[in-house]
Amino acid sequence: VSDPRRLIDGSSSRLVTDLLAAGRLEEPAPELVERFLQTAPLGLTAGVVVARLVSTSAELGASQAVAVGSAAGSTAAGANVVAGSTAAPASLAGAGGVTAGLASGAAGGGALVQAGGVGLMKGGAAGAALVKSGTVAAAVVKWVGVGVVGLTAAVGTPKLVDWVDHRNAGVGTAASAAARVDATRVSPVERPRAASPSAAPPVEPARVVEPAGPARVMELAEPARNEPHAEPRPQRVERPALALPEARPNRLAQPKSRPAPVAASPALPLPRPSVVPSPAREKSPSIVASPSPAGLESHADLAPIAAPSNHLSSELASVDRARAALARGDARQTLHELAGHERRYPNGQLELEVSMLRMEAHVQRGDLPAARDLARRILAQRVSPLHARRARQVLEGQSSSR
Amino acid sequence: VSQLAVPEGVCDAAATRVDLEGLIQSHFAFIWRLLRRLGLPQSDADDAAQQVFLIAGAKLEKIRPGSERAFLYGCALHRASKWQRAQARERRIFSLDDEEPMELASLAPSAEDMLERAKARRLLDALLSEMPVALRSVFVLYELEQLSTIEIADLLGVPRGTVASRLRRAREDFEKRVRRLESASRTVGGAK
Repeated sequence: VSDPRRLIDGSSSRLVTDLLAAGRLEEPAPELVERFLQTAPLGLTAGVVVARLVSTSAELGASQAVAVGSAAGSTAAGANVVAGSTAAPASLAGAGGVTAGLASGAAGGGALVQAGGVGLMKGGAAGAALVKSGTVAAAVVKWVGVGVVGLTAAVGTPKLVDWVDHRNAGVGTAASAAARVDATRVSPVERPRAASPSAAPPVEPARVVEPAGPARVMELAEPARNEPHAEPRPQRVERPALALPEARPNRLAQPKSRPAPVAASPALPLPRPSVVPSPAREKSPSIVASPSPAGLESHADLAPIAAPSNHLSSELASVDRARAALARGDARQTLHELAGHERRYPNGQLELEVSMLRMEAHVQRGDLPAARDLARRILAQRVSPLHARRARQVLEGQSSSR
Repeated sequence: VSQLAVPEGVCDAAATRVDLEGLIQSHFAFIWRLLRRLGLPQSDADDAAQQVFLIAGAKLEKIRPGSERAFLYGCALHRASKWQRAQARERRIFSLDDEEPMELASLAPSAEDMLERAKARRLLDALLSEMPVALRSVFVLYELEQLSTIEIADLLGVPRGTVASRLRRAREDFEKRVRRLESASRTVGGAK
């Protein structure tokens, strides 16, 4: 079954093809791409360092959460120490707090490490939130423990008391129960054993404790198992490579930034030290790049289209070839492609693109008089602010787009 | 803190740079455009596109050769979806390039105006914004980025038949809206 003919190829109305062509021709600001090319590796490297720093902080926070969980369990047990052997469930509650603290700290650290250079501040906040969650979980566990122990003491369920007596094997006095709780608090050896899921008995107290501890842990640990920020689904990454059609290699493989060769200019400023570069937030490149409302009204290249609509995609492909040659630094081939383009499409719809590319090609090969002449002609038209800005730069003798 | 002395991944920075640069040069414009057509204003698309590539850069060794584009598109779609959810949460009305929200009718004053490319882009975005996300993704990938239905099916993780069905519905939806717009344009033109 073959794919249907695309609307832009003329299988729909003129307006539809014009709209789609306008969408296809939009490009990010060249400055954005250039700057990102410079800052992305720096951002990645710095991201690793900062993520490590944040994850270390998260681990420290997790330790605090563990201490809080342990203390909460101890407090719960201490408050109910008069209940004698029923202090054991309370120490389990403390163990639940420990588990929650440990797991939330690990989840926060793991997720933050994987996050790399992306959303570092957010990562830090997430780490703090996770640690906080661990603390909250510990507090919840504490009160659940208190409730359970209190209820048990009040009701005095024979079955529960029997089970606790059986489990504690002789820890039946208030004094011994308190000693056990203290051991849970201070002994690092005791903690892992108590925190182990297998230590949770399949009776009421454990079931009450579980949702506050392990269930929360599962939720918190989820991001660490997934991709960072759960961006792409893992199975998508594992899927076989897409069979890319050979018919569109240029369109899909070539960068669209017009002054691509300029990216290597030594006049470029040093990359910002920020970990996550977001020049758009600085607004300067974006503002320059985005067509201003005034500019929208002055597109001389938007004259009524003389060529049939179904030429548009082949015109685009032709211009893309020239752009690709320019990006390779092959100014001669660029000019050759553009000359061929104009022969094929004497009334083409991409006249401005052709002029801009030709001007860049002249700049690239050092033929500044020709480039300036073209820049003057471009400025004589009513073009967008972005195009006009670049033309003025060329006219003033700047080879870089900045 | 001593762990910070030799952070993992730093030693691979030089090798990473080459591949990441290649990815950026080959795909940045397309990812950015995809984000734009999925509704992100320009400033947000700038940021989101960079985030997509930073994620890819951090996971280069996990991306199978040949599936880079699928990975990037997956990230971009996720980003766009996240942005749309955030917008819905904030109950923010769709705006174009941080400008005032527009009525579709105001975009159809005359046929000449339709030919202005920037205005046409805004009109395109306005039309796409009214399309359900599932249809919109397929429409953008097929009609604008010119992927095949097989590629789209692979990318979105849905059967090819589903892609064909969504594409058909998306085209009907889009063309219906455009016809309505053309009709409005003629009416306004006649009134002038």
